[in-house]
Amino acid sequence: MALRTGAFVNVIQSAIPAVSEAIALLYSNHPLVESGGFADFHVSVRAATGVRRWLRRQVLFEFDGARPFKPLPFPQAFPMLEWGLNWCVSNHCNNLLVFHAAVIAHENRALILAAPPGYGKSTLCAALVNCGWRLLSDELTLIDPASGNVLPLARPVSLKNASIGVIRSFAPDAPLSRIVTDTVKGSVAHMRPPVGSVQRANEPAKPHWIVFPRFQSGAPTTLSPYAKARAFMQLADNAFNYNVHGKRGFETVADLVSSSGCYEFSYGNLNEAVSVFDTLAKSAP
Amino acid sequence: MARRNLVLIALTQPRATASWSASDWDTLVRQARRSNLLGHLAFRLEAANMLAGAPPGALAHLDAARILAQHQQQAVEREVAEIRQSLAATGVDIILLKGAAYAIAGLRAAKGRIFSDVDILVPKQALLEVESALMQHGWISTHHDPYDQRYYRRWMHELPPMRHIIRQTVIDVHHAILPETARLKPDSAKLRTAAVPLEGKKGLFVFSPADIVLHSATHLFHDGELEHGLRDLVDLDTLLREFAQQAGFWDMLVERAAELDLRRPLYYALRYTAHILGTPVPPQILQAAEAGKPVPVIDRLMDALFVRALCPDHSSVADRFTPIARRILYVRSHWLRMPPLLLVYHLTIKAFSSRSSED
Amino acid sequence: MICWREWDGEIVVYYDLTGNTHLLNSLAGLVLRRLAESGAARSVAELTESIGPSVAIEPDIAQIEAVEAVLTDLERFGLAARGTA
Repeated sequence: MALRTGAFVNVIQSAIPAVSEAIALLYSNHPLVESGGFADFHVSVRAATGVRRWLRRQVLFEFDGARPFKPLPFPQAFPMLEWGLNWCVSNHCNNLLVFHAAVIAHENRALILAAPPGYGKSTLCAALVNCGWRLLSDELTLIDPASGNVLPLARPVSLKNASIGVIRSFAPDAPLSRIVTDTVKGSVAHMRPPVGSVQRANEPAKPHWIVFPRFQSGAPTTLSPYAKARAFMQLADNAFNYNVHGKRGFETVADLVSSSGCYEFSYGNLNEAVSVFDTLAKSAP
Repeated sequence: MARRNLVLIALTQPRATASWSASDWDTLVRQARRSNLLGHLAFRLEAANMLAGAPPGALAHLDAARILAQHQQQAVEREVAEIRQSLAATGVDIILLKGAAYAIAGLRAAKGRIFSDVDILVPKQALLEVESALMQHGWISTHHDPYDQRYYRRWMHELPPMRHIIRQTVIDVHHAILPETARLKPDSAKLRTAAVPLEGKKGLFVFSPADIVLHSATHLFHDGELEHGLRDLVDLDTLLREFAQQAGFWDMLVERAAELDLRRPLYYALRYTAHILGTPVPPQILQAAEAGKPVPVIDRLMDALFVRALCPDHSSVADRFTPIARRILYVRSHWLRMPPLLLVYHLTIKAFSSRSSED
Repeated sequence: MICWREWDGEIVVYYDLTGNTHLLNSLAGLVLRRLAESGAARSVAELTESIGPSVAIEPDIAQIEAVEAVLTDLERFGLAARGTA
């Protein structure tokens, strides 16, 4: 099947029932594309053959016949597809600047959330897109150097460990995939992106805020300005292909930082966090 | 599934792409990526003004490959500058080989290229001094398996690859273009004498044009890695077309092949570039190169094997026999490098040690 | 070929020749700028003087040391080179 995710067409082949089920649930709002056109990524997720077939079954991710990853345990088939699709973008889209960061938007002003794993960026992202913010991506922020705009993907939001329970209570109506345990990231589940985000996945957004969040249990909710030069370095550090773009990469990140409000954000309570972002959204440009 | 080699068509008849469907462009990008030719293709199509007809998705991927290639060119330039600085005190003349040579000499073959290691050639007697200087400047040897170290130093024409500890870049230091155990014996001293200095870079050289071509031909038709056969053939074609503009090049090429005992690789190089890529080799040169032709039976077998193996390594082009073709050619490459007893020893040891590291 | 941008006294610099990007604090940024502006080589004392408050007749030791430390860093990044007088 061929699915459109923002600017990209993905041809996905898989005979594994768990994968088809997850796709049916999480990509139900995504446009299907007629086959026989141009596709950006041809991928497949299939069971590994061989002796292990009968012992501990494994699953393989293939990108156009090549296997960028080692096999994973069979129950991880769907997460592997999602990780694989992320890899496709971060490895091949050298015409764009690709950052490891979440990005959401309010009225086409984009807010980039950049943080190391475990800092609560995905939880925050998942909560905010259930409160009126548009999802562009939970993992990969794509900037077009020519326009400086963010290009959406609007793919399922990945949640880990404690986040899963938190989002279940925060947004009980948001469809969640089955939880897959024992992955290298712990327990993993994916949340379906809001239909509005998917419908607008072909609309770029202009960067307006850059936030470095950090979740700490019991911490007060504080949003404070962050030095732009440091924000620059953090972002460049979090980019997959900053070096590839050379001088143009430097200029693009500098423009990004110049035109955005840069903040550090610390929070211990999700509801309070969401209302801080609400205020931010309503603030004058 | 189409069996057409769209990369070949796009390279040899770019105007044909004007009537292509989105699906054709889809196949082209995939085949090109697998053959490591996406960057090269981007530059060729741009030069032929044939990008206007491409679907936006294809343009994005071609653009991405072009940007990556540009970055890589700069990265190679920086790396060569570092190497030059690190070896300056030794006073040894350094000859750049393969991709790094194309990049620094500004040859067309460098455009759109993905580079991996930097290869250099130095006199055999300077090997240890060069290795030592590199180590002082932060390179360490890879291949710590004692068998591999012994294999490299005793049988091969190069040191085990060295990796820079901070930059993580790799350098291959050669003293010859083929191992001493190979059947063909191109004289390194002759190669070094004919080397051409690079302007503004004292101590840095590349091979003469004829020798660059012969080295590339030897690399393609002798080496173990044939997965990128088409890319290497395209290299040869690009080099030949550029050097063909120099007066006396073709005659020099034939003479030099004889001088360096490389008639056989030249024969294959000219035969297959002309046949598959339409390289404009003058008929009398093709004739002269026949001096390197093997007996007819082998000639026909090689034809069958090479033509298959030189296709993009992609499911849209392969047929049932292609994996076998590649395996036979891989074994042949080793056969050409090493006497049979050693071949068995080497392949067995390698097969064994790679299996044990898997589980 | 050096590109830079400044925000609130801190500077990020991209150096074409190495492909590296650096974050410089305000002192380092000033030193680099003075070096770039003058084009010619400057001594440590000259640099310190040109940066320090215009009131000082002679730059003090602590200031000179700070500038010296910055120059050592800049040298390490390939952005400046020590020459003989």
